[in-house]
Amino acid sequence: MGIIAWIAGGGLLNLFETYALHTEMADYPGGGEGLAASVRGAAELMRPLRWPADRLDTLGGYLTYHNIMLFQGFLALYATVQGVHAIRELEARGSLDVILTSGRTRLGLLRDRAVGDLASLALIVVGLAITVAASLAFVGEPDTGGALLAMTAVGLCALAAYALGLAIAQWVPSARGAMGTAVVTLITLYVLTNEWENIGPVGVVRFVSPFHWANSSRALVPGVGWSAPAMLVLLAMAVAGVGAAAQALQRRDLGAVPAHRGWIRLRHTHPRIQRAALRHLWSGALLRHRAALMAWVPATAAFALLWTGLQATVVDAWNASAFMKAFLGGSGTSDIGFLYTSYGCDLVAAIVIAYTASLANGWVADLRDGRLESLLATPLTWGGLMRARFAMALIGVGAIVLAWVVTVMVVATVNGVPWDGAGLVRTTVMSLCIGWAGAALAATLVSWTRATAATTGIIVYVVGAYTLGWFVQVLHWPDWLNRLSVFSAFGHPYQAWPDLTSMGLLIVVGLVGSLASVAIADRGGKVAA
Amino acid sequence: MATQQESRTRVSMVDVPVASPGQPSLSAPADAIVCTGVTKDYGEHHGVFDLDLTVHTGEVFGFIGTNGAGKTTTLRLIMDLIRPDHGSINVFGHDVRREGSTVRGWIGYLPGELPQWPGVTAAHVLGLLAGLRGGVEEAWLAGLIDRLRLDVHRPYRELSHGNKQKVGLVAAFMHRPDLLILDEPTLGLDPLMQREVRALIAEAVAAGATCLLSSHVLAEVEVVCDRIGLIRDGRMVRVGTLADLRELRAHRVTAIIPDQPMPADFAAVPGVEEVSVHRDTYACTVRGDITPLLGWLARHGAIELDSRELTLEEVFLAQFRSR
Repeated sequence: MGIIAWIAGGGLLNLFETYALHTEMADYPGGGEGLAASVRGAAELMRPLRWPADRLDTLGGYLTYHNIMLFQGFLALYATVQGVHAIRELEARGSLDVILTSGRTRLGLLRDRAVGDLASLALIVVGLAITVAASLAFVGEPDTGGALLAMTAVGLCALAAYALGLAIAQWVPSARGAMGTAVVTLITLYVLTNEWENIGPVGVVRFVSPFHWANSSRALVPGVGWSAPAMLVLLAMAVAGVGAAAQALQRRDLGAVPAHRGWIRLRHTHPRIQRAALRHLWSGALLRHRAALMAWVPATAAFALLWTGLQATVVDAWNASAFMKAFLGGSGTSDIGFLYTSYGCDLVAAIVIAYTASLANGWVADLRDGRLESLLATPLTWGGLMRARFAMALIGVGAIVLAWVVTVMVVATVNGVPWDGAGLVRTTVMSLCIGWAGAALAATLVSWTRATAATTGIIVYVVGAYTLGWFVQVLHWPDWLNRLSVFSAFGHPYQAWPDLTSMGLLIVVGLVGSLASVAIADRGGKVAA
Repeated sequence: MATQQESRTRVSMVDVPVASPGQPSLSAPADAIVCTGVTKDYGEHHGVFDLDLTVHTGEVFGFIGTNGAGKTTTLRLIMDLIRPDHGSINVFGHDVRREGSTVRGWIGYLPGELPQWPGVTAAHVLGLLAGLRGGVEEAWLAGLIDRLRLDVHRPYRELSHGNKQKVGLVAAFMHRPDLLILDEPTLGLDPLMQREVRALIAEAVAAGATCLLSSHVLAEVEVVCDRIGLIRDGRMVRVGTLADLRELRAHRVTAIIPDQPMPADFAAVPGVEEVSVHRDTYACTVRGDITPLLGWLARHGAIELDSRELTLEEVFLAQFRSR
């Protein structure tokens, strides 16, 4: 299902985007060059999110910048998660020892898992490559070889990311902790690779980033082309990562890290078992997931640091971009620094939704791993459980937003950049609203599907909503379509409160989702089927 | 082997009173659990079908069946963890579906499949479950942990299966429940700990609790239970007291007879079944009065005689095979 979703979703995106770009380049005053000139400023501004932006005056260049690099980022993220899951998830479920006792060697298991995941990745990449080639052919600019080579680099980048996830997971004892560490590492590498020219000597880190080498091979971009050495480096990175993972897996105990010496200390006295922090499910769950939250909070703070720190570098380019001003929704007289901070605050919505998706994953695991059975064998009701989950979600969202707000305030103050306290308060309130709505949506999907399909559903919706925003902007689709998007409902809270309809949408989703999640869950079982 | 009565009179090793002074007492009706016509159909003949089951207040009821017979499904239905397709389930006169939260407050439950709790210690798990229940006495909890020799400060993930089972048992007993529902309670425990768990059950029942436990180890059930129910393919095939079931008991007799009389004569002795003869070794199962067999053996010059009572397990297995 995942493979089909990737190919179908990516294929549609390719077809729409290629057609839209082809049409836009033909109709735009000044053609492709005129279009490239109009978006160059915006591309500069969005450098932390996507870079490099070469030859935007050509269909191959623009398609690479907009679609291929989007696939590159998201497929690498997907592959990293798969890499973490490959072994650690089996341990978390307690099935690794069963598999190993069946006679399978550790290396054999790792090889089989890697080959299986590689096959899945290969299918996705080939499927997407075909849709890229078909889209180009559809608009009369066929380049099948270029499409295949471009997506091969994307696939190799994902393979290196997979190996990174696999290797990191051997050095972090829990699946959730490994997931957080690997994802934060990958995103950090992504941003640093995009910003390498602005970060001085730290920029050298790009050479260990798969994104740098993938960006060196862009077959559809005239004047850049594909690079066999870059592809070989990506392959070498993948081999090295899998090799490091294999080494670590061979040397470590199950459920531990290679340096772990085991538990040797026995205590014969009992400090109190019942502690205040464990009296409520929400506080107990928060305590249990503190490591994961500790990964989200500093990652958000680091992003805020990077974003606010780069303000001085990019505001001039923003000032020259009418497109970007329009996209940000500021009035004609809005200060560009204000709009820059505002856009950063808008991105908090994406972080919050991603956080709720990770919570949904944990809720499915609660059911699958039997924790739900233990919890609901007490007087705890479904309603009580959901209330605890929403409380925990809101506390997590609050911590993440606080990390953002405090970092922005501190960095802006240090850099002498003005910041708006009321805007940050609005951002905090709206983040809590969207966090509640996201958690309610996630809880409903988890109650309904009782499987990780819930997380997939949320991710598909979020990516769809994000893409929809762009389509509405670029293709001049009707504005009401954006009403289906959480990003639109979130608005630009740093600038102003969103309108009542948007606020209402978030509140209705939160309220209806909360009630629906309990009602649906109450009809189902409390144990995994 | 300790008898049921011996187990029940065993002195508690926990130095706190067995009665639960701090808890509101449940004025229990005569029947702790009443299941009427309960069906949960998973398809392809999996599940439980038209199940009628009554567990009397104050008794230990053993639920016996092979793997996949429907034991765990029945216990989960009683816990309202899964819902029946039809039929009703009452615990102490209360419908488990409509008053699930209240009912679960009276129950101590050990699941058949142990949960995973990554990233926390066993103390965290027990503290959380105690917090959700409320009113758990710290001294009683510490006593249970000591008694089962559990190191609760180790990461839960690193515990052996037996130690995870102990965590589940502590969670089931920690609030001194009026009803214990235990799915394979001694699974994975060493013999000493198995005995300790049987003692805990006996003490809880002596203090007024009721216990429904499932097992596929009949020898264990024989020691602990007052009544036993046999389930097969999701249907209750027999319910009875230990005394009822002991009527089914038999002896396996093996004798050496150098004169090697005719096997047909041996098989014709009243009460003799399942005859096997190998040279001078004569073996059979005897039900009821053994006197005719002893007379026949004496007349034919038996020089060695070995007799042992068949366990309930052997009797029931024979029953299952015959059906």
